[in-house]
Amino acid sequence: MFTPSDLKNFENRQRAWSRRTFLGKSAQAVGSLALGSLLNPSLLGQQGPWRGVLDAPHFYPKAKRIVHLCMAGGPSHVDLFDPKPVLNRLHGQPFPESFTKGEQLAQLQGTELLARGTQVGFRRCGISGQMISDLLPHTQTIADDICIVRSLHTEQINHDPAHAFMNAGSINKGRPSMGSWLLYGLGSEAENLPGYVVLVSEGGGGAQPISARQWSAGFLPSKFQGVQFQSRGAPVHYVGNPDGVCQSTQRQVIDEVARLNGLQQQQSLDPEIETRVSQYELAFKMQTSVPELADISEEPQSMLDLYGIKEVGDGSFAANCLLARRLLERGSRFVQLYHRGWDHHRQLDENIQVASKLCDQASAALVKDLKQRGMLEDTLVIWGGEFGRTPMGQGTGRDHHINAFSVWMAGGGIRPGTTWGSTDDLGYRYLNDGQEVHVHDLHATMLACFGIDHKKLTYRYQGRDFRLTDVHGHVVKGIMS
Amino acid sequence: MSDLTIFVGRFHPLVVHVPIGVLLLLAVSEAMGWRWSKLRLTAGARMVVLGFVVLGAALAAGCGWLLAQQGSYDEALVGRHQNLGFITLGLTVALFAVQKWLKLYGSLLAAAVAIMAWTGHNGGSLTHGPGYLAEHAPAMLRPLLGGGAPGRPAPATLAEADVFYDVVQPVLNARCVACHGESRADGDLRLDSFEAILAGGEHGEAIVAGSPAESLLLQRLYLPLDHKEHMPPAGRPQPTDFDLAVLDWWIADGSPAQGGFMARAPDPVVVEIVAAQLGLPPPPIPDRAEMLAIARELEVELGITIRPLTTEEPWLGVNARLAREDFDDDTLTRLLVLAPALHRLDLGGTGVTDAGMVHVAQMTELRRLRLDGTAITDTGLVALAPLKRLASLNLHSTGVTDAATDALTELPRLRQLYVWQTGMTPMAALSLAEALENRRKLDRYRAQIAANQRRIADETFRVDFGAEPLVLLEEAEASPAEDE
Repeated sequence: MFTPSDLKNFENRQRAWSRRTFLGKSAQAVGSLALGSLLNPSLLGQQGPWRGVLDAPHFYPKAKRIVHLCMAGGPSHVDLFDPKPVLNRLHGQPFPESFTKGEQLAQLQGTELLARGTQVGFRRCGISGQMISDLLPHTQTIADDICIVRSLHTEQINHDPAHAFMNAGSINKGRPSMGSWLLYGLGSEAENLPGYVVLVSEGGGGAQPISARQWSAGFLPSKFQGVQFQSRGAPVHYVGNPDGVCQSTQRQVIDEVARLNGLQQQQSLDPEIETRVSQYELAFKMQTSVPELADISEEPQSMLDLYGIKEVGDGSFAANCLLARRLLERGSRFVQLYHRGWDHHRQLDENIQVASKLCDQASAALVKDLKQRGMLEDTLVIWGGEFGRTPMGQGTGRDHHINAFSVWMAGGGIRPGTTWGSTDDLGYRYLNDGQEVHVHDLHATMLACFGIDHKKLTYRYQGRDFRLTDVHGHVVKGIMS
Repeated sequence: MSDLTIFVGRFHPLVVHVPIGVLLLLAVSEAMGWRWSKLRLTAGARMVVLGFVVLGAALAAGCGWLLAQQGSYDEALVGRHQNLGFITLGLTVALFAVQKWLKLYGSLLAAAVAIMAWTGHNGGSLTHGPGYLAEHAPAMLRPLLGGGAPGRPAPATLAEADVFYDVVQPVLNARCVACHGESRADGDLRLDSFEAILAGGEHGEAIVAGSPAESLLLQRLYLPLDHKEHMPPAGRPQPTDFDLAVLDWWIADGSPAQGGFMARAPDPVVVEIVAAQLGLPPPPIPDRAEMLAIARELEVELGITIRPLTTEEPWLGVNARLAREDFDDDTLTRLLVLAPALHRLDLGGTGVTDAGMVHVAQMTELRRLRLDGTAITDTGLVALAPLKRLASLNLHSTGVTDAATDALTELPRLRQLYVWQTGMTPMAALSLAEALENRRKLDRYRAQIAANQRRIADETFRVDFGAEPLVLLEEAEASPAEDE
């Protein structure tokens, strides 16, 4: 069994195996270890739920699972959650230079900056009266369940590094994503499905590629990395046995491979071998669990209608949302849904309608569905992109924007019906009003919802302790219930 | 009975102590003079002092007689006190008469002091209630003082404490029973037994079970100190916030006549107060290491997860969903060893039934309980009434119906209830929500009133003769006690 202490001591033990000790001890060691594993083969298999490195959360946890609805491309905050009447009045006029002088720009460099108002209406929604754009009529109906953060800001202005920053709190390669950190800290309660699952939806066009490094475990053992499921057709290909192989033969093969891997593992103490063993075991279990997961024939038509699913397994964001709920029900810790197609450099007015239509209903349906099942109280939902879009126009669209953008959060540990933070009159920059939220703060808050002190969840790598928030991050208590 | 008689009568306690003191001094002086001739009193001095004693005693007896006419005291006790008082008065007169015959005078003086002490003790009983002397006496002295052994041994643990005899009655004894007891029942109200409290007094019922706000007893306690109807009267020992909290809790909980205190799952705050008042250690928090060791074993054995919720405390969350139908009512009993530490229990989709709810009812620390997708029905929910701390209850996809609302109203802390895909109608769910909300509002309202009234009693004013005539010095925040 792969225990947290093994993990922590791995580096030390590696050092302890000097050449001399190795040569001196290997002869009897190999023999006795082999015997040990023969006597106790269950040591090698990955059995059911497993623990993380933390014996328990640091303080009383509110959430135990999370679904991240990642609106890749950068949704425009001034068209969705942050109405700016002043910006509308300035529409078409030069954007005040006092805002933009010396600022970092993406594709707008060297062009004349014109203010671009929004073409859509906003309305106060629910009892909480939060302002939500008419582009998101379904999200408007869950206004009292969500907390809108308007003062989020990031440091990366291009898609790939901005995603990396949103996932891992750093653009340096090799840093673990937030899902990996959570698995590392808390383990998984999923019996026979991965604890961290990623789905990337299709449709809408204008999709930027998403690199698998976004759900990488980085320097953490790769056991903690996200597992991408296919969103079109079967979630996992080739889970069935080939002709002539029955389940019991398969079991024998897996056991034998695990035993051999175990021998190697006990010599080299490499956690990657342990990872491989547990992947084999998990894959074996998924031969039955995945078809069961994907079989949504037990879901009534009303449920499909709630999410707005036209065809099962069509790769749409809506279908993925339903799959996400089923994964969460079965114990997955972290489900991440990417919907690409929010990168509206051109024809924003038309394209944002397309993207909104594809995401709005299912996002709201997921919150409602989790709520009616009583799962929203311990499931954290985060909806948002890797950055926002400029209040300045870029022809018929908007450019990337990092100084302010909006996300919404709901569920486990989040105070519903709250709008947090503000931007200036033009939606250009977050206000320093004590409610500003950096991506590091978002990470710290997310971990706090799980009862984790972000300063205490660390992993020693290359001689120093790393954490998701690195040396930054403040918990935003004001949005926590 | 005119106001004047009462006015004069109430001087009795003041006047009576003057001749007592002087008579005692006289006795001491005579005793010393008998031993050392140098200290012997002169005949003149003796006459002056005795005259003073006779006058004082007569005045005290007169006031006392007027006071006794007022009623409201136990007649037998008042009668005895009165007779003894007159005998004491008679003895002082006799002393005055025989002061020349020293032998006779000496024995009479000793008798007068003895009778006076007995009279005084009876007076004390009138004021503080019979048995006042024995009440707080060391155990070995108690039988000598006529208190006898206390009727009920003090509980050794909180679990043994009785909700009325050990928790409520001591508060009433300390603050109320002197004037509302056996020897004296002002306003025809006695608070020295459960039956007497229920009977009420001349102003009607003292308590309304379940509603502290409507209970006259608490209303009087909460009135500002300078209000003429405030109880206990200014000058008497006032109830502490702790006393109020205990009475408030007891009435809110339906004013039970007896039964285990801890079995009613009282607020942790009340438990703490009661533990302190009874001089008992607070209820033990289960040992984390011990709980975890049991949890680890059960996890493997039952195929479920039992995880600690925090690093420091023993609180546990159980996920039995993983075991599906294999986890049934019998398996549930295995978790009872962990009951003091169980905060969250997920039984969703398991094989538990209504019969198993009696076991769940013993897990009184539960905050979250999930029963979705089980065979549970309205019948089973009735058993869950002891879960006074339950904040979230998931019943979706079960057989519950509108009939469950009564049982659910018994859960005062309930905040989240999930009844999707059940037989409960939206109307019933709404009215249940309203009932629970009203109950919480009442709780908050009550807490606010209490806080306000205590603030008013403590307010300090400063009169400023400048531009601002009156400035409130301390504007204490009236903070409503928010739950969770």
